[in-house]
Amino acid sequence: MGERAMSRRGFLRLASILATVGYTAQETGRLADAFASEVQHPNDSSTPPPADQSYLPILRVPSVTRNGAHVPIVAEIRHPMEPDHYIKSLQILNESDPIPSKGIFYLSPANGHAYLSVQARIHSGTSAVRVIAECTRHGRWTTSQSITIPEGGGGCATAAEGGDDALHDDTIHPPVIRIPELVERGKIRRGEIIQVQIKLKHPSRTGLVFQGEKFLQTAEPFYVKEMKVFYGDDPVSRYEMTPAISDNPFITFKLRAMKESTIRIIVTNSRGQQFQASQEIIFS
Amino acid sequence: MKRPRKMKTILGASLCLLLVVTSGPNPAFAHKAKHTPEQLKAFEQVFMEQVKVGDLLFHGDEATQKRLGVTLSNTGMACAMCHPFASDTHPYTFPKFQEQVNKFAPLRDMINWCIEKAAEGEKIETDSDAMKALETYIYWSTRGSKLDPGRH
Repeated sequence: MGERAMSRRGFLRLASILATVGYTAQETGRLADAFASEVQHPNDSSTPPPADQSYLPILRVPSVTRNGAHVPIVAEIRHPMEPDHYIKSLQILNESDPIPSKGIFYLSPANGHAYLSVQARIHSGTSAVRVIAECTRHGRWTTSQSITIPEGGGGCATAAEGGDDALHDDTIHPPVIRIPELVERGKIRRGEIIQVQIKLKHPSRTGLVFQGEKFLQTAEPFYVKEMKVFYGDDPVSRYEMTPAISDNPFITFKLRAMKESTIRIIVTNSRGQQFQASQEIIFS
Repeated sequence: MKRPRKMKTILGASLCLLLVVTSGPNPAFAHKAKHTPEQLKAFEQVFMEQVKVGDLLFHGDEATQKRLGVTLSNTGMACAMCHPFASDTHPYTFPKFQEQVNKFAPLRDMINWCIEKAAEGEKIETDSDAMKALETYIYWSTRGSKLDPGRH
């Protein structure tokens, strides 16, 4: 049983490399960059110094879930977000998946809090989800969580149009920005860190099929590739996604409400289609 | 001679009954009175308050779940992660035979199926405040749709 699992893991690793190369050289480069750099683990005896305990990323994923096509992932780090010292990116990975990267979220001090909530495709079996947080001063910090998904839990094999759930259709609904604070109390205070949620109906297809213990690329991936966030005229965040993002990604990040202005997002999919949404920020 | 008297008695009793039914205060007929603008505003507020609670639950708000004593997910899933804008919920097609639950089901049964299976949470009482709020948010999100019960 264990031998079989090892063999399968080997296949997955190989498929992972091939699939990644097959998608985009850009993605491969980014991953290579992510793994080649010095990454500091929370359990390293040398790091972090006690004063820097706040640099440990926090990762929330379910330890067990039946639905590999929609795994909720929350990554955050309690860390200063000052102009000269902030978290500039959060990357979510699962190295044993055919598409290891679930995307990189680039932040700026305007975010106020390094936080990302998103859903991703993860292949069945037991594996580790990892987050890498990069600080402008102190490099990369990482932590991981184990996840188990039973066989048949969906995940990365989504070649056919129509997706993994016959109830869902492939229509696209342009994004809408939801601010939970506005729903709950109808107002925003100057200086508070608000949640910004992006609701978007968009399919996500890896184009992979799982046959004979390996993944085959049988169709072109179709997914939400990028999300740019502007606050007024200033670019504040950018999220580069991969085909491993879930259908209808419900993305949450944080933003410090410093001025009365418009939050605007531009979403681009892998076919180059662009969609926009905006939300006025007015203080009470 | 006997029969007309009996008829008169029955007729009299029927008239009395009709008088009782139509003359006394009866809430069943209250809606026939035209609502005042103030009443309509109050009704709308009650409705939108339910929409708001449903919106918070639908998007995974933990404080609202705690307040209502429900656990809609044990994995961090929220309804909106599969159903942005309540899309693909098709509330106007209920009730219908629902294959997943293998029975003729109203929307509430399907909401509970999603909570248990997709969100891996704990199903809620069908007449609970949380269920009413979720149902209200879903109907509100698809308002204007044409009723089409039984459709697949």
